[in-house]
Amino acid sequence: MATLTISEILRGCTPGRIQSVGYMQVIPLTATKDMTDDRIVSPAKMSSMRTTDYGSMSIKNESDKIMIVPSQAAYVVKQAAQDHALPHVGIIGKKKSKSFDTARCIQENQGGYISSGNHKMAILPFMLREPAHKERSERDYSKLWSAIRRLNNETKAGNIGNLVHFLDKFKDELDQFIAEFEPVPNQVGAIILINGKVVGVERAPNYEYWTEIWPALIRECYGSLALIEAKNNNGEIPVPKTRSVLGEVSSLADLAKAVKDAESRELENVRSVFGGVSETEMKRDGKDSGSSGLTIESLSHKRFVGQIVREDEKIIYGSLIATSKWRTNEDWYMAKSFSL
Amino acid sequence: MTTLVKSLVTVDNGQISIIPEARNDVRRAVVAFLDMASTATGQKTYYNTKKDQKDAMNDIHNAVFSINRGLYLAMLTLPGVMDNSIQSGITKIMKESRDDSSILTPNQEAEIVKLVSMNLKPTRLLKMLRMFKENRINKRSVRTFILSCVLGNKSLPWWCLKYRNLVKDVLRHAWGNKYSPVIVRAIVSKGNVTDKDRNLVKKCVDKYTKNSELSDTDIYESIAFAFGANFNFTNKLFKAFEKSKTDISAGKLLPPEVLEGIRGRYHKNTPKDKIFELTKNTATDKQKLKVQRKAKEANVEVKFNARNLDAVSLYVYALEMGMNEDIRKELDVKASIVAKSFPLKYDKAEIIVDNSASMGGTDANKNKPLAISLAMRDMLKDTCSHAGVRCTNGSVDALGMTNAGGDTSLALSVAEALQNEPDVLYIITDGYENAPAGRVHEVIDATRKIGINIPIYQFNPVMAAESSGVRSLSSHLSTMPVSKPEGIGLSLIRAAINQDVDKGLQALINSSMLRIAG
Repeated sequence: MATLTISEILRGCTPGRIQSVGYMQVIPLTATKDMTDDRIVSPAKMSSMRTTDYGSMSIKNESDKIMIVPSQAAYVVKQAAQDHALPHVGIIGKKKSKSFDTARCIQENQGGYISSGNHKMAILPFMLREPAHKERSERDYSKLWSAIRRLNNETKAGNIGNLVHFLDKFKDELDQFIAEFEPVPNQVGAIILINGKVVGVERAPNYEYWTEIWPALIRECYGSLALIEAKNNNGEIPVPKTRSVLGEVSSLADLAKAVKDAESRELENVRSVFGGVSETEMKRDGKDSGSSGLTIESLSHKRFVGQIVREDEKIIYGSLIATSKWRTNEDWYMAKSFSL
Repeated sequence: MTTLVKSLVTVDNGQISIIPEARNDVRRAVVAFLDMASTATGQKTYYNTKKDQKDAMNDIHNAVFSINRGLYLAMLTLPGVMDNSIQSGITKIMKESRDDSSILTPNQEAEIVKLVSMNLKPTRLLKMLRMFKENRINKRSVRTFILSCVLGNKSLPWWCLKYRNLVKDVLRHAWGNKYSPVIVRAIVSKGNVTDKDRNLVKKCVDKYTKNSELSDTDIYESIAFAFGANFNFTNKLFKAFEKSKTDISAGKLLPPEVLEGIRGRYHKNTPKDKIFELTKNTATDKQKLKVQRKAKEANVEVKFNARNLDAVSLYVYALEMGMNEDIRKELDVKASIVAKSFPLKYDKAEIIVDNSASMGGTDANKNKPLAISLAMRDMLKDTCSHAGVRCTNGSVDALGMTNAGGDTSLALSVAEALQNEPDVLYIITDGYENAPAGRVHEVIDATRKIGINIPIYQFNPVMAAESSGVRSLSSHLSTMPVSKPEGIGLSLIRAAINQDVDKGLQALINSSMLRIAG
């Protein structure tokens, strides 16, 4: 197949109850044991990472399982060293080390190498992921600086390409996202909407993997986008278009039904939005790399870009984000064609 | 937080009065203090870092102290105030000079300082005394207070064993760097000292131990031990300490953590599990509770007495290790005792427990929010004739247990509970509603619009002085932070202050005075 749809990427997943706070809505995706893959771990616990040169990141997989480094994993450390991020997904075999010479520096004005350790992993803020993805194969550690500068400028976090300035400035707000969105039992993924538009689709190999990467996804990645969108809303209380309010209630007996009805309407709203993107045929840009019997593949469309990891045709991991072009013009793209 | 000018609160013939234009500032500051005092442990939480906690706490302490020193001190006596707040509060009182604006007399202040300090656990008392050193508080009255607290305590040898460095630090602070070695040398030399040195021991040690139940020998040996002096000890604890360095089994009398330290240094080949066995009789029930998992893995039975532990600790244990009928019985007894002093009584209550994922806490306080919630549930159940209880996520087993996990969908539970037409609705939640956020407010709003005005209370099981206060689900309900059911009185005073700051503060002072009176 030359194309792949989001529905196919999420095959075997079941949507859970929508979580909705402020501008952000998350549809948890759960899967039964037979739809998950317990051979895979995330780098959260059993890995050590260091940088060996500017733009070179070495990760050691200390577990006896295959490690998938999630898309655009970033390491922001407390050492006097240049923080780094990977612009793509990585696969590391059991008890093996792997060097990535495509890593990006995310601290323009900081020198020094990161010494080896089990450093806390973040995921790049949403606004940096697309530029990182586009040039993922290039070896140039400074490739993200201009995008970081733009992000910092936009959010009044300074004008230097140092991601720490953004993360420090919005630390409290970003922390709130972790508390506000909770993982549910058997969750392996999520569809993320901001202001009623699908901005991301994530699928992890198993529940443990998901719970380990979810804080980074919700905090730095999607949290940063929700934060910026809310700030652009001139301080008004953000309520996404897809959020429904409780209907009229005339007696106590109506209450529970009114709550269920509102929940159903919200689900319908989100279903309708997701229906508009679920069958998007994404171009398979070819095999990027792979090991341990797994293949990393990149996908692109004017709506979404991202990467998947598959074993034959079975999708084990996937991470897709909406493109900035699509997000800017979504209302136009989604408007009905004219007819009389 | 605004720093307020002195003194916005005065007292005349026992009647509190507040400067009218300062009422809102006073209410805000006092309520923030009650929130913090009843919940903050100074530890990092699911939502705040340790530094956030410390900064928030300092601001809140300063704001109330600046309203009135006496009011600030009186607030430390309230039931449910956490040790962390008492430590900071007494340190502040010791640091700042007294002025005439205090609503308490000097004697009342001294009584309160003594009362709340002596109610602290030894380690917390000693840490508080060390805070005096860290804050460079070295007035004569403070030195006297430290020496009376430490040297006059009947558990001095035990304290020296368990908290050797702490005892040494606070004594050295009280005696000064110059005199401390002289005093220790004089004690170690057993009478072979100059008159000057003997007088120094009388002045700095004997003066504070006149009413002690301990012998002079035990007191002197405790000091020698704390300062690491080379001494031929006769006290059985210190003898056991020395002997256990060569024979680990001689350490049966020692606290587990002390013997573990000796094992780590002198008996590296002895397995850790041996320490569980040797110190089974000296460990506190709380220590025994904490080692249950390790003990189980090591196949060692370490029994604890559930009666000596609070409900929240028992629930934390049960959530990790499993509930049994003995613990269940103790929890029921504890709930019924606390329920008797709960001031709100209704015939028919509905209770909702949020058991979503965030109630599982962090690694540092695993399951604690849920443990607090379950202990609160038990107590609230016992305050009414008919109680309906529901958890938001999943069911409750026959022993009253449930687990944390999943999203926070409270609205449907609230709607179903209200349909049962209760006299009161209690919601126990951290306030982070997400499925969706704001729905509970919509439900309660709709209920009010159709004329149902039953009281609805939200209890927040938190352990943090959250910078933005506790999260409320709706502006229609009263929100109260709680860290243990015993401290709920504090939350009710808070609610009273929110409704009428004059009456609420009066209730607060009355409660404090009653406590001083015993």
